[in-house]
Amino acid sequence: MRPRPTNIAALIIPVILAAAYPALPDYQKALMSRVLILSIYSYGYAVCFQMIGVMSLGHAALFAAGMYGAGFYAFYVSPDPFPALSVGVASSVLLSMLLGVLAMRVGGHYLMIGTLLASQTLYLAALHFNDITGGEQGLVLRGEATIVRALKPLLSELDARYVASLLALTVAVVGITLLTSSRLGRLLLAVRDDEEKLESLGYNTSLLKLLAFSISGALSGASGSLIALLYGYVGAGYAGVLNSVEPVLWVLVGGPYVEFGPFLGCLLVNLLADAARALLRGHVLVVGAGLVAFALATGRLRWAYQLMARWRSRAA
Amino acid sequence: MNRRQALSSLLKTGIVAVGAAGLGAVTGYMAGSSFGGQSPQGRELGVKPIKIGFQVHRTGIGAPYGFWYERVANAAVSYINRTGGISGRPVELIAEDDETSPAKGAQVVERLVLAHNVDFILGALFSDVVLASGPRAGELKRPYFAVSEGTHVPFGKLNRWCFQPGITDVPGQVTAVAKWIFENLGNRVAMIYPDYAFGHDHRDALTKAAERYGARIVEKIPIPPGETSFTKYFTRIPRDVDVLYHVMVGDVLTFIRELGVYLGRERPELFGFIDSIEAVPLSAPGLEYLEGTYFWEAFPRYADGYDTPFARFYREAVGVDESGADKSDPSRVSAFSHMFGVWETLFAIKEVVEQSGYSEPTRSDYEVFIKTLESMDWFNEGLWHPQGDKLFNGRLHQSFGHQFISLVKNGRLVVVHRTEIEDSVYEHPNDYTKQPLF
Repeated sequence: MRPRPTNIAALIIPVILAAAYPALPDYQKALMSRVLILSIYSYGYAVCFQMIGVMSLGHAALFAAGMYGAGFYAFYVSPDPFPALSVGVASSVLLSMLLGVLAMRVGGHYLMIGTLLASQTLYLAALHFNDITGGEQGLVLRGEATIVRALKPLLSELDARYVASLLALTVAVVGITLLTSSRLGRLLLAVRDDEEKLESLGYNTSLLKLLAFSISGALSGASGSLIALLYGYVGAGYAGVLNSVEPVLWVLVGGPYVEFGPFLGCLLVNLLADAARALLRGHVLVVGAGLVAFALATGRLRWAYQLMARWRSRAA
Repeated sequence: MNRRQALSSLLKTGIVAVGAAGLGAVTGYMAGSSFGGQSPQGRELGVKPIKIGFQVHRTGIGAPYGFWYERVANAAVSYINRTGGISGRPVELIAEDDETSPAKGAQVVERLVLAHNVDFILGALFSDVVLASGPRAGELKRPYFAVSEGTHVPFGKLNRWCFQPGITDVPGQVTAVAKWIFENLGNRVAMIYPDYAFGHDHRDALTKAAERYGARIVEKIPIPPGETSFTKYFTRIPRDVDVLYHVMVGDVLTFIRELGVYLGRERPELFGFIDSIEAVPLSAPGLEYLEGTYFWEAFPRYADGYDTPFARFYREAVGVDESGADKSDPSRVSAFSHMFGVWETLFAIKEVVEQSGYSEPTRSDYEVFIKTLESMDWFNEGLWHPQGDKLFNGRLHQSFGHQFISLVKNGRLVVVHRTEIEDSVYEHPNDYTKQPLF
């Protein structure tokens, strides 16, 4: 099989990130670790949004399920980060299957509202049961419960965080490229493009959607668990609606290539936000204006692309 | 070339273009981010400034507080710099927006330490931001000063690098006023509070105080966050209670209006925490019903409530008029009961830097700084601590101060009682001094 350019582009990402690391100033090292973990969440969202074409507004629930799963294990059961990570991923996969069932029943706007409500339910539950969850204030994990401490004998905190997040991102990127090149990946795209046709060919599209939701949940939950286990804090703020909207933004900015778009989008949005924070007072406004400009520009670009394509095909 | 080929070549060009643009943006950003440099004042004096990082709620839900926190921080730093700085060195305040978000707050701590190499961090108000930031500060080994009144610092949820010397925490405030409430308003109490951790801190502290003073909390009414109408909860208020204790349940104007309609004139005594109406003018429509009710204040909004030369000086310095509003815009009421904590924290830092001889962000200097701060047991009232003297508990890293109880009379707050420091003090087993510093 001929390697596809998108796959090559995606697989180069971890290599560039590893190579660039020594050259980064300290703060950028810390910032990039955060972005790398969040981009796993971005990939998780893209599996739903870009592969099966389901727009969810409740992914914060999956992210938070991973975060709370890992956080509770580390806080209440044992401060061992690695089992905690698997508990976190498992709990978000479970929740994503529930959401997946919802996704099979309804579609379109109903699904958006349904997922939004599901995630708000989780958010309010986290606030209400704050004797366990710490509510909006959250829980602080003990140092031993963090991955950083586990790697401490080998690496400094800064390096440990980067290495762990780069490793996780690499796994996610390789997984996604394998998925998109596989038969399953093509089937998922087919669900997006023409679900009825696929069904009439004898495929169980509900099962495919459920599968996509689980993969999406696993990635989102892994991201949430890693945030908890690398930074030692778990809180309801991450389950809020804003955290559901952010990945939509990343994926939109990242463009149509699911292999590297989610990473690129997450990176650009976060770096833009950070640069604006350094430069200006009202950085939120700047980021907003930048994104509106970007959305307008991509609209224009699509128009330009179409025109160019038509012109080229006529020339040929 | 057919359409398909054209499209695929376009795709490839697109990929390359997007990739290049992305890389370009990243490289540009990384290359452009050189940090450091001295402030103009520092260069003039030829002395290296002391850098204080400031995590401020410029946007997000905390923005009304953040505005005043920043105003006070700037006023304090300007006063410090006019009067010789800290240990003769000017202070440079580096403020960054945390969007009142725990994730962004933690990121701001990293920025302040790794990019700006600040000596100290003046921290946040909202507890979630403090709780997410504290561990980062502890790991990066920078003293972090919360001005939050949360229980995170005193209850041992954070670490040895986190302090709260500028403001009494919620259990301290509640313990202090509870005694007065039970003695003066009655000892059968119903309480109405938000159903999240902040409200639960109030519930737990008041319940504990009631046990201590032999009063009874007969009904606890939590209000779910985001609630827009409250009348249905009021039916749970027993008719025979002496006091209704309320705090921060959401939109205060709606809450008070509906409460007025429901209870009418035959009401129990009302006792509220000023947090509900902090930065809200008492003349706001619907608040007339508060006439004749009581509020906790940490620092009286109206100047005659606590009229000392120090309080007057502070009020002038932060640009607030006699009735607690912005001098340049009387419709903008200040967060007077919280923002003094920023002023006092900055002066606590000054005091401890000067006593400990701290000069550089090194292990040994921080060790002396933190041990000196932990050995402090008192901050004297004065220009540096205009709200009043404070007892500092070095094991809990927490200050305990006086509290005020005010009556709403003729549309303004009139102080009726000032609690003693001992009234705020409670016992807690936490001991930060046992934790290793490094």
